Amino acid sequence: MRKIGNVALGVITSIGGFVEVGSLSTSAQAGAQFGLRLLWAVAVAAFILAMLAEMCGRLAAVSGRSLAAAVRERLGFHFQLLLLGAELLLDFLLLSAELGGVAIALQLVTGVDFRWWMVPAAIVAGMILWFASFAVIEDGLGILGLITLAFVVAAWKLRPEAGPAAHAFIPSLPEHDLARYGFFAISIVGATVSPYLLNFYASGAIEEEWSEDDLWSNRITAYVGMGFGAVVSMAALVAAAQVLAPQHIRVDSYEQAALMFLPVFGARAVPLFAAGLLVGCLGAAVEIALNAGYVFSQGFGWRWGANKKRLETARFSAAMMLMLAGSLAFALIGFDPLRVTMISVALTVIVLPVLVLPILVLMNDRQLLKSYTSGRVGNVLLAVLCVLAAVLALIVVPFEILGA
Amino acid sequence: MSNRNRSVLLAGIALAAIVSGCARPSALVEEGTQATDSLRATLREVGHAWLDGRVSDRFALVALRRGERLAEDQRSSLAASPETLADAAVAALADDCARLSRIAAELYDAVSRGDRTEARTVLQRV
Repeated sequence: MRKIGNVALGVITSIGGFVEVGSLSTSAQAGAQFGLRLLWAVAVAAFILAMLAEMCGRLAAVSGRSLAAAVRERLGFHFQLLLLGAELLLDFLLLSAELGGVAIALQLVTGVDFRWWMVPAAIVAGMILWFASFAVIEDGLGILGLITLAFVVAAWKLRPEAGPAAHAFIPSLPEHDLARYGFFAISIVGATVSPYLLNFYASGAIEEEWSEDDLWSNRITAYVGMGFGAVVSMAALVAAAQVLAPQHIRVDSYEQAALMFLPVFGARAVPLFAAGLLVGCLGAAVEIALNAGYVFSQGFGWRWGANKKRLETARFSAAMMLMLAGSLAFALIGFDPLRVTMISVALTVIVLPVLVLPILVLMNDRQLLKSYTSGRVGNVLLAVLCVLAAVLALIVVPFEILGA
Repeated sequence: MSNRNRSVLLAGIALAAIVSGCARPSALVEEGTQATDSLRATLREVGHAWLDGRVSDRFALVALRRGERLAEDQRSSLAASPETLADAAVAALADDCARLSRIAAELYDAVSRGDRTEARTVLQRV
């Protein structure tokens, strides 16, 4: 019974923790410019994320190693350094964007310029990182994140036509703006399949001491939790498609994105949008900084764990705090958080092959996974994803230039 | 440089020229038209939402200031070079952006003073 409760909690927190600055902004932009047409991209991206998360969870549950630790052990320190560099660069940019998202959310309700909110946002994130246990971070922020279900309520009340919505799950090309359409499709993949999520998920499995007995709950949490989480992203796309697209309002700022709630929530629209943005971004900021601690510690073999006292894991604690401080410094320069988000999303796609290929290798390692290695279907899907990721990485640059 | 490398380089330059050529005035006009339509609709939506009491003064002010900045950025990108500005359609769009930027500023002023009559008058010009 307790296990079922834990799985339910895992699913709920996956839903609550799914929406952050990248998924929200790419979905809203795509919906505002292309209507429902890019729903398929959210579905594909969510399936890829769920598949990779399930594999990383399985790796952690069976071998007791996170993704970063397994890469270091099986593929060598030098390859690990490449992966570490790529992941930390992405985490750095994304963390800046998430802090910016928190600050913008506060600006929307207070009217005070978002730059004034950057430092308080980072202090709150830092305090959570310093004082909270893994369960508080994962479950607490995940449950608070359920406020993002407001997007689902909005999409439901806006009543999109079922026929076109169902049709949008089949990939199709637009009559205009092919480059921008491609750019958004790729950006949705980049925003959803955030590398930090994979190592964070595997590290969480180790923090919660998963074993082979937990493989079924891993599968449910990954597929059901992230599947329902993707529904929130899809709802943001639908709401933008129903409200902003008919008025030809593009999402070039979060102020424009907030307008998608107006017809449904009236005077509560902006506070509700801001609350969703704030909680989603704060949760993601904490998870990204925590993941930086994980990646450094697992890569260099330091003592780590969010459930341990911070001074007992000094280098782990220092790594996450330094990542937070560095990203805050970058955010304070004053770059538009929405632009930083889109750049980090495009970079994610570029480094995706480097991140996916090791998973394919590791998931076939019998020393690590014993009899739980990937089957033929899993291997084929992952191999296809590797090729797809390489192709996307090649075409993202021209799409970035022409479409952004 | 070998002949093969030179051919690859020339092909690359030609492709870049074609891409950049295609991206000039027609693409600029298309992008600029979409951006100004979006800004116009945003100002209208924010202004009416403020008049109806669906958004707070604070949000309206933030959104209008942001709209003004977006209009300015768009005008700057359209007027980035004399060559693009020589195109009549691009120049007209740049003027439109400047007009929207002024309207956003006037609407901001009306909202900050709580002057609904003035806000309605400004909105009619959007």
